[in-house]
Amino acid sequence: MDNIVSLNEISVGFEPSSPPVMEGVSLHVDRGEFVVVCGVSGVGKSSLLRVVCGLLEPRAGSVEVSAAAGASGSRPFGFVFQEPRLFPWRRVQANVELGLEELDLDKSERHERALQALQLVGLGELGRRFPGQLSGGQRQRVGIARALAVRPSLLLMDEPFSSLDAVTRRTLQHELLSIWASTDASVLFVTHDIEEAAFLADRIVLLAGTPAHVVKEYRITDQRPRSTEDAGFQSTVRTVRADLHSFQSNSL
Amino acid sequence: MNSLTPHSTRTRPGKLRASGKLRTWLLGLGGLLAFLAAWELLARSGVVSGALIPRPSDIPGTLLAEIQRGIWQRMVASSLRHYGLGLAIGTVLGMALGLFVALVPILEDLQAWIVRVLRPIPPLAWIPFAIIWFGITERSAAFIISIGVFWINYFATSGAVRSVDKSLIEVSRVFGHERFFARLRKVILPAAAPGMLVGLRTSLGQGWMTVVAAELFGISGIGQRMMEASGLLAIDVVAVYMVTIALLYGLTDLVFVSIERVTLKWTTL
Repeated sequence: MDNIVSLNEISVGFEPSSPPVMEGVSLHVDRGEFVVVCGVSGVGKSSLLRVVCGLLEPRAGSVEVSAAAGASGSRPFGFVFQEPRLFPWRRVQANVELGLEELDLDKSERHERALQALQLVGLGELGRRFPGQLSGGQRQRVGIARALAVRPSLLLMDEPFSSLDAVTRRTLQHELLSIWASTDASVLFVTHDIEEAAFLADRIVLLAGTPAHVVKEYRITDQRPRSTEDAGFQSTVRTVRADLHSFQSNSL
Repeated sequence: MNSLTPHSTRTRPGKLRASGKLRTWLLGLGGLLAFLAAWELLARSGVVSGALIPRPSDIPGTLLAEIQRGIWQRMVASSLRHYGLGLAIGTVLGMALGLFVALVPILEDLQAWIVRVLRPIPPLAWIPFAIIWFGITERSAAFIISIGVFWINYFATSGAVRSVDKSLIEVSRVFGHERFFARLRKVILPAAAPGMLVGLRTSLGQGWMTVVAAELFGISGIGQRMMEASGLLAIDVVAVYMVTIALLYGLTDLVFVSIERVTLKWTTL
């Protein structure tokens, strides 16, 4: 298989004495694939992303990252957080350059790459601003540009649109899909919003239970761009919602 | 309801703000002048003996005399030296140790009682040690000044560093800043800078307050001149140097604020 990353039988726990919050989770992302992990708040979706990029050590299980990930001048992962998490003392341009500073690039290359990433999210003109001078949607775009600038093999996104208004969220979802289509990055996206999952994903992985585990996967082959009006979209949402309800209530 | 055009409603707030600023300035100036006038009247009325309080109108003449004799310049220059040295030593040590304690968890508990014992000792109480260690020298004065400055910066820096947003440190890790010094330079110090500078600004004032005390025991400077003058009951000379300290503090604070406005522009956005 042409996996970018694969998780094998991952368990996650926070206190050594307490039971794990997640157990036996196996998950892989293929090259170029858009995978959405869906589940209720607190089920451990964010922890899963943190395990993938090495911020969190799993209690058991292994993480394999493809050797092809992290070619020179790039990083294996780009991370987009739920909040923009920009450095308020850096101008937008310098924020986007953050991930490039530890790569073997000279100053002009860094500058050029950051500018390209900003243009990709439609903020090419705002590089001289400070984050405090941007709107919420613009800040989240800068966060996306910062992750794209490192030319990641896998883009990790932790509910990146959940704090935005509905219109901005839909716009950014469209933009994300077109950026994804124009790069060869894979995406591992986490959300509690089933409609968002159905709108974006090649594959939805449903996480539920205590401890959390993968209860079901759905491969979605509907053409993009999808619309909430589509019969396929609606049936996906209905199926996933029904499954989520039954798995969650079983575990309570 | 009213006939305000959109144009005039738009310009009104700006005008109000500008005139509000002017008003604040004028009121402040007026208050100061009224205070000086009341003081002058009190001194002239004979209610209080002229030997007890100097008259504000005497101060410019006395200042001029001090300048003409070259005393004022000499005293200010040497106090500035003590101030600058004490401020620099106290700030550097206070910030460095404050940073260190905030970054190494075990030191937090280790320092707790040391700090509780040493912190309440006023800078003046260190004078005997200053004399034993450094003699009646400029280094003694700088040492006394540095003590108050040290504590202010120590607490401001350790507090600021401890409250740096951990999620930003995580961001720098995710984006490849694996080495501690990279995170220190790129996240911790810039994020803590506003809090650290509040400490520095407070210590600019604290430094001037201890200058006088540090020069009481015979080290040349403003404090020594004030002691000399008070011994001769030359209260107008004492007042001249009080005003001088106020002006020097105002000047250092003004310089500081204008530097801060440029470097910390992002905090006001």
